[in-house]
Amino acid sequence: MLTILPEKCVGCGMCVMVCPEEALAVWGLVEVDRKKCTDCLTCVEYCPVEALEDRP
Amino acid sequence: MKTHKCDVAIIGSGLGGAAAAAYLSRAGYQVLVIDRLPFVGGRCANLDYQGFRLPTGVVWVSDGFHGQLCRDVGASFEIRVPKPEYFYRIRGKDYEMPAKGGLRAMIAIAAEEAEANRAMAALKRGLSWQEPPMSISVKAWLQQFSADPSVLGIFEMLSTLSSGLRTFELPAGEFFRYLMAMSAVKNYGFVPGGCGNITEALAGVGKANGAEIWLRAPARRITQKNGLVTGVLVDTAGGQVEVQARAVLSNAGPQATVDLVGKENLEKGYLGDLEQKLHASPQIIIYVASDRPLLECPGLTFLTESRRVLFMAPLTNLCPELAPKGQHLTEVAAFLGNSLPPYNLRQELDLAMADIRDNLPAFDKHARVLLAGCYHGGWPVMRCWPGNYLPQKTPIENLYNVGDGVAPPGWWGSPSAVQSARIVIEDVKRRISPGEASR
Ligand SMILES: Cc1cc2nc3c(=O)[nH]c(=O)nc-3n(C[C@H](O)[C@H](O)[C@H](O)COP(=O)(O)OP(=O)(O)OC[C@H]3O[C@@H](n4cnc5c(N)ncnc54)[C@H](O)[C@@H]3O)c2cc1C
Repeated sequence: MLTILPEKCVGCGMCVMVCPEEALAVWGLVEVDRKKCTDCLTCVEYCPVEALEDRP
Repeated sequence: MKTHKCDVAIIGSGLGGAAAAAYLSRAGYQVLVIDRLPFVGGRCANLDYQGFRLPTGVVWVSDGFHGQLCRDVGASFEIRVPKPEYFYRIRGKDYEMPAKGGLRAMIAIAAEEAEANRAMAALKRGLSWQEPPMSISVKAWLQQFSADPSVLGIFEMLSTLSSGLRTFELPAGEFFRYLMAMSAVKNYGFVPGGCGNITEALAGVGKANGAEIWLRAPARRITQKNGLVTGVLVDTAGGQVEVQARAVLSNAGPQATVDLVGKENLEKGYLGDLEQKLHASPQIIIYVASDRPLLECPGLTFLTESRRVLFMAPLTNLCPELAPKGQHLTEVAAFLGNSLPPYNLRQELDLAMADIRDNLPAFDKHARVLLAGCYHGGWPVMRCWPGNYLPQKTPIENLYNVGDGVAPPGWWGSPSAVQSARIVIEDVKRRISPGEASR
């Protein structure tokens, strides 16, 4: 499951740009809308600071 | 484990890494570039979002610098230069910045005559006689000659524009070196389709000259033996690969380089230097979408009396291809109260939004925030404060850093990444002859 590591997230929004479901939003820190997120993990690939992870 | 041999391995395809790859591959070196992201370019790339083509970083470049880089290596380059390049807003009024003596013109409008003359004389002395020392900040230097908040606002804008640093943080000596380096660079503008085309073109030159570029390929470790770097362990979709190289260039930033090679393998003096000097500088970029153009000046409109916003740029005035038909894209850049963490980013964003509402009267009716990005820490405007001068060389003889974390004196932003790469490739050429990996 997509997990956000707030201590690593800088809030750049690159994950927001690539999310195919528009499930992510950023305002200083990224937030996920669990109702929309399909755990496709595209955002994990694009995070430049490894602040997004796939965790059980 | 699979192995791969090359002359030079480059960790990261940011502007510094991509430029190094283009130069070295053209000189006959076997180059491998790896990047952990799925695209080339790092903070000089573009991604599609809601039909807009958004930058990951770089927007404002020049024919004089970036164009010259591309001509040096035979990469394609296109730029649209706005006329005028700059407007500046002082006490609510917009002025066109003259092509020559722009700074002087701004000061003359901001301050009353005697004060403007004093500030201009000091500026001239700094540029033509001797720059001020590094031990005084831009703000403290300026306050000797002018107490006018509008004049300070001009310097605040110039200071934060590419360095991300406030006038009370930036050493005056480095600011003057920057002004001198920049005075030789002409014709700023926007790249049609976005600045990602620059790093793509550089990567293309690399490939045409035999370089390999692996994406989604994070470096996990820089390997070393007897005080020399031997290569890089890289994760790929097909499993881990042992890359063997005669030199490694890290574009991942000085701290990431330390983590990859291991602290225990580096000298204490170097680590101490990094600990003291390696601070990233921040910025906020707010992308505004609108149903009409929001600004008149096709280039940058500088704000000199704002809370946080330093410039606004209507990207689609000259590059309509960056937005869906009938829509417009404006970039708004803002500095932070302090360049060192901790930050209150929500508060910083609110201050920037208040500036947007004050300075873009059509915002509430005709525009919306498409995306607000904060850039700091591991993904900043500059990986190291200008003036803190970290060396491109590491204590390990064949391990270098390239990128804006090791900017040479007077160079900020994306040109600093390229300048660091130029210094490094000259050194590589002196030490390693091309093609040895295949012998
Ligand atoms: C929002 C913003 C706006 C900016 N606007 C401008 C502008 O208008 N004009 C200007 O001149 N400058 C601008 N800058 C500054 C400019 O973006 C940077 O100075 C420049 O792009 C830095 O390039 P770099 O060579 O240091 O590499 P980076 O862009 O930092 O690239 C480093 C690369 O290394 C990769 N990497 C990191 N770790 C690993 C690993 N372990 N394994 C593999 N790969 C790895 C990363 O994925 C990345 O692609 C802006 C910066 C930001 C953030």
